[in-house]
Amino acid sequence: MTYDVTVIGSGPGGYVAAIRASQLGFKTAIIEKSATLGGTCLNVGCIPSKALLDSSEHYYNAKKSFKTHGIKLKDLEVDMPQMIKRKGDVVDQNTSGIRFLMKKNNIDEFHGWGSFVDKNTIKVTNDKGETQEVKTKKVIIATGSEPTSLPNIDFDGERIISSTEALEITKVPETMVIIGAGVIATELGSVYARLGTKVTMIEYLDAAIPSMDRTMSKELTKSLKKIGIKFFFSHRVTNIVNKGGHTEVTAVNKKEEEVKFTGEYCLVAIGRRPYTEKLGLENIGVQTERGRIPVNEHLETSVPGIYAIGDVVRGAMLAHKAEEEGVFVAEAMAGQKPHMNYLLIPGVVYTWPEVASVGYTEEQLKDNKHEYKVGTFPYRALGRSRASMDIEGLVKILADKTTDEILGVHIIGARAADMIMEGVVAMEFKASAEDIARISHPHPTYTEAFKEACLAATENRPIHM
Amino acid sequence: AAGHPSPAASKILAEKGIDPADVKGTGVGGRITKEDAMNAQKKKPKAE
Repeated sequence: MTYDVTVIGSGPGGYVAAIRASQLGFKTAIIEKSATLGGTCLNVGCIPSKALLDSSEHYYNAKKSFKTHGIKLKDLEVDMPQMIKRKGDVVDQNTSGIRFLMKKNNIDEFHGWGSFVDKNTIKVTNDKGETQEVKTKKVIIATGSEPTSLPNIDFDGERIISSTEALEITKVPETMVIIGAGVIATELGSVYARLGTKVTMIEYLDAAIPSMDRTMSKELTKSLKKIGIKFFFSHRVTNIVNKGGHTEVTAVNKKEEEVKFTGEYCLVAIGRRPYTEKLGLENIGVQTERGRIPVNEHLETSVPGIYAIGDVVRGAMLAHKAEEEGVFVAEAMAGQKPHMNYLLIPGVVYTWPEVASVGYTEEQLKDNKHEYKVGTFPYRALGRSRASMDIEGLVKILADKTTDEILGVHIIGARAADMIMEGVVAMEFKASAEDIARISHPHPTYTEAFKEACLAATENRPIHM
Repeated sequence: AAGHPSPAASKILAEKGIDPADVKGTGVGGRITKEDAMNAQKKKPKAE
């Protein structure tokens, strides 16, 4: 048989694209090289990291704030094998959920490496070297990304590790050096710092989470220092050596002086790169650009009928960005003209406090010479925060100076990951700061900081500050 | 926000080939709602 659509890769972009394609009446196949579906996000990314973030945050609260809350506890300890096992169970539940969804939508699953023979034929090679051919009218490439290391430094999977191995450590390390201070670095650094590891972060740039609004990086750095993480910004790592039981990291600081660090593990979390290995792109005449597959505004490659989505194409490497693109491509194949607004894809860092943003950062507005107003409101002024003791953080609203339209929302604080949605919806509907300020917000909630920050942005007239 | 189509309205207008500038929005502040987009009709070319 010939499929209408074949999706290569079963991550959030791939499996969502397959479901949407099937919903639209296309006979759909999905090809995955791993034994389980779900891709990076479900197996070695978003889901497992959130499981460990949640567990470690429970432990940290028990240690730090139970006493103040009036809860006495004896013999508190970390059972790391259990923490990792539970994380594994969560991953299993999620990946088998995807398998259920594939069956429910009559999507055929193929396991093995998918490789183009020509634009309508994909060869699938499994672990045993057995091959089969999938015939298809159209293809969606959703092969994702993989962790990247520094030039000339390879992961050894033992001491010099990527995020994948950092999710499988079964004994709390005493020390850990993390290269990078971006999203993955700060999240995994938080996990281990809370569990008692002495974490050192070395970042080439001059701030943590450098792509986000600078107020967010400043506040997050402050907050991570409180849980014991040490930062070395503007340091260029020149070498990492596995010395057996530990690693030695050599870096050069701003003054060009050499600095050495040691850690039981060295986690390299400097970014991810698009993954197109063994895909056989050359057989259909598609060339990658700096690893990425070039696509037009319809996410179609230079070969008609071959589309690409997610981490393997330009744009933010986010699960929900890939999902949106998967839906976009499936609907476009059906002749529809779906909506996609890249500016309004929110970014979230799942530390505690959480960080979340949407729209423009203050730095971008300055660079664009856009005249703007800023309204901020601190969490510590909220009744809800006092009750829960989550007083760190603030909401920052950027609005157009003349029209008052919201241009950016940046939140650091408790439940920012969920609170950001108010900003996304508001901006999708082109709300002004005053619009939000005049909308009822339940009391007491963290979202009141959103309303107050909007009042501050409108005419600098917050009520509770 | 006047003349700004909602995500659903935007898709409908694009598929009908209608420029949002040619649609009168009835939503708050003149936004183009899904209903506005569903009711919108492409301008008929002027009779010769």
